[in-house]
Amino acid sequence: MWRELGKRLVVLVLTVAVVVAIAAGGPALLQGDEEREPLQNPEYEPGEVVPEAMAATGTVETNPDPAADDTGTVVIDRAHSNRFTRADIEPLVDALVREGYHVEFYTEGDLATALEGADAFLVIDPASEYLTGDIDDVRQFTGNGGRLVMIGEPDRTAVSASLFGTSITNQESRLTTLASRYRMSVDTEYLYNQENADGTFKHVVARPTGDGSLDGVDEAAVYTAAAVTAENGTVLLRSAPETYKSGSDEVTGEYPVVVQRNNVLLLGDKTFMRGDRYRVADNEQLVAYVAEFMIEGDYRAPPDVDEDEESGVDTGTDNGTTTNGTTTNGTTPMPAA
Amino acid sequence: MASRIRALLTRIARSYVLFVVIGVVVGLALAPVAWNATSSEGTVAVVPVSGAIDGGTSAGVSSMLQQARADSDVKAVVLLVNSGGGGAAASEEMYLQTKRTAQEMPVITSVDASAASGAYYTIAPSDHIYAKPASTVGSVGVLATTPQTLEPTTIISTTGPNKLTGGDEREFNYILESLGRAFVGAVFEQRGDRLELSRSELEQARIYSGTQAVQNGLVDSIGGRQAAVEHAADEAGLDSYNVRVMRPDGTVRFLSRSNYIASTAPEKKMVSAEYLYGENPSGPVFLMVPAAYLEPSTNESTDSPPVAETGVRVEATVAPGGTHVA
Repeated sequence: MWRELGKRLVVLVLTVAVVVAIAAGGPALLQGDEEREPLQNPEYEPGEVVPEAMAATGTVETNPDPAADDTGTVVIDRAHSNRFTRADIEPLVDALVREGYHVEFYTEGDLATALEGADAFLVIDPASEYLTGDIDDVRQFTGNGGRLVMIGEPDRTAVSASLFGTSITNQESRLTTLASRYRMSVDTEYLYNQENADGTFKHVVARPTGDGSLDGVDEAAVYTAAAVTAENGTVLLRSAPETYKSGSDEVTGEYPVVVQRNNVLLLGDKTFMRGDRYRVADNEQLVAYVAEFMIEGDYRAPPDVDEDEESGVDTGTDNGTTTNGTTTNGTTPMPAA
Repeated sequence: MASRIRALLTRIARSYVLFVVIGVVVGLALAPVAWNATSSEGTVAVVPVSGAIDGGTSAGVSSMLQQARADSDVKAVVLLVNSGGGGAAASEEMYLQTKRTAQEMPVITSVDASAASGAYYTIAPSDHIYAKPASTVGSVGVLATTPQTLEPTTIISTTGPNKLTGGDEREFNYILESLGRAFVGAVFEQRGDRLELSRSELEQARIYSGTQAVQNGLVDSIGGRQAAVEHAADEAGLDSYNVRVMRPDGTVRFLSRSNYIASTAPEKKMVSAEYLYGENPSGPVFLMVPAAYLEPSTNESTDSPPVAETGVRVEATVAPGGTHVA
């Protein structure tokens, strides 16, 4: 009897084993022809998707003309509600100080007095226009060998929060009256470039034109910059090809962002020399150039110069479009009228 | 009397007529099942994508598309879209799900009021996109709130200088740019052969009306939901088919009452218009009503967006700190 029972138990165990084996193998057999192909995503290839970051290295090494003074003063305008912070100018101030120069701020009072004995006058993003008297003082200054550096910005939208809610204000660089007296102007639209940019379209890559003496600059990066123009001026730096101006027009070009006309320099961006941006690309060389430009100024108290007289060495005209090479002007600027 | 009734019952019981009647009744009861089993060659699954895209939307749509792929009866999918976009990662998940589905069966899209940004990302792998003249499509790009400049202090300590913010503004822009490039690259991968826009034109992130989008290739043709369903059935080679609206939880809802009655699905319900099209998506909403019908006083809460006289309502809501394809 035990033997019979043993046989039945074996049959039972075998049956269980067969059922379990079928249950285990069944799904694999049933799904055998449904192997999924992994999803291929060539559009997400990191080499294509990840933008290559521009290097942020280098130091500001000024190399002014040996004929320039070993010491002097640079006056920075603070009297026209100028919008800049210490971080915006620190790399430039540092370069000037290392060359033995003093930096002073003009906050109020007679501008002619403030500029007396200075070598250069720096005007950054003023929120109010220059009045006629001040313009005459600046022209007097540049007419006698002083150097003027103007830095403008495109119209900017500033968002500020207060107890009464969020307000949006439009900020304009009010350089029109001063710059126009030097036949220069700053555009109101910002530049953008979707192909040649430092991270995002408003951080536009700019390249030297070969005119002027922007040695060591292969590429610079400007941050929400405005196009600048100067009649009979030398374009030192232009935005990369395919740059647009904000707005809906479809015109692309290589817009000037740094122009020089005699002993006046006009830039369309202040952020490139900010503490956390001045090393990007060759921005440090551009900062060095601005410092050298100011150091090489040599203001000498009058004899008067006829204000309407042009130096006559400039050739060509630049109207802000894609044409290159506007002048054969040498690297040594002449005093402006 | 009793004997007469008995005789009648006996006659009825022996008659074939009774059995024929019973047979017809039972047969009619079973008819929808049999009709379904033999008349339909397959099912077109309708997957709604509506409202702001977030993790929940993405999980729901993914689930519906997975169900559609797993169901051997589903031969084609129609995406019914009315969304202005949403979270970037959620949109990418939906893009990948649509792409996988399109590898296995025809996917046709019908755009209702809007398929902008992340919603357009979702539908980009479709075989054919229908839109209406008043639909808005495009806005191919990414936006995000830039992290504030913060510095570890004695109050908040970190192990690294970027732990608080993730990186500075410049680095953040590179991150954003890589997201944008992935988006634009995906649209070109899927529709590059049909797009009349250059890469940089697409990167401008404009929105277009349905008719403009047909011109520039973001959309294939003008048409509505019905056109999309019929197109999907054609693509799948179905002469007769069922249309089933998918639900994230696996229940089934129906577009039409006849489909609803015929179906044997458990937990069946008629679909609501809100489920199909959701609430108004963010972004400009173009209305086709006279201005007199717009009453600003109908805004019940103070934080409702204002309704302009032109009938264009603009809602710009960006959650702080997040990355949005909106």
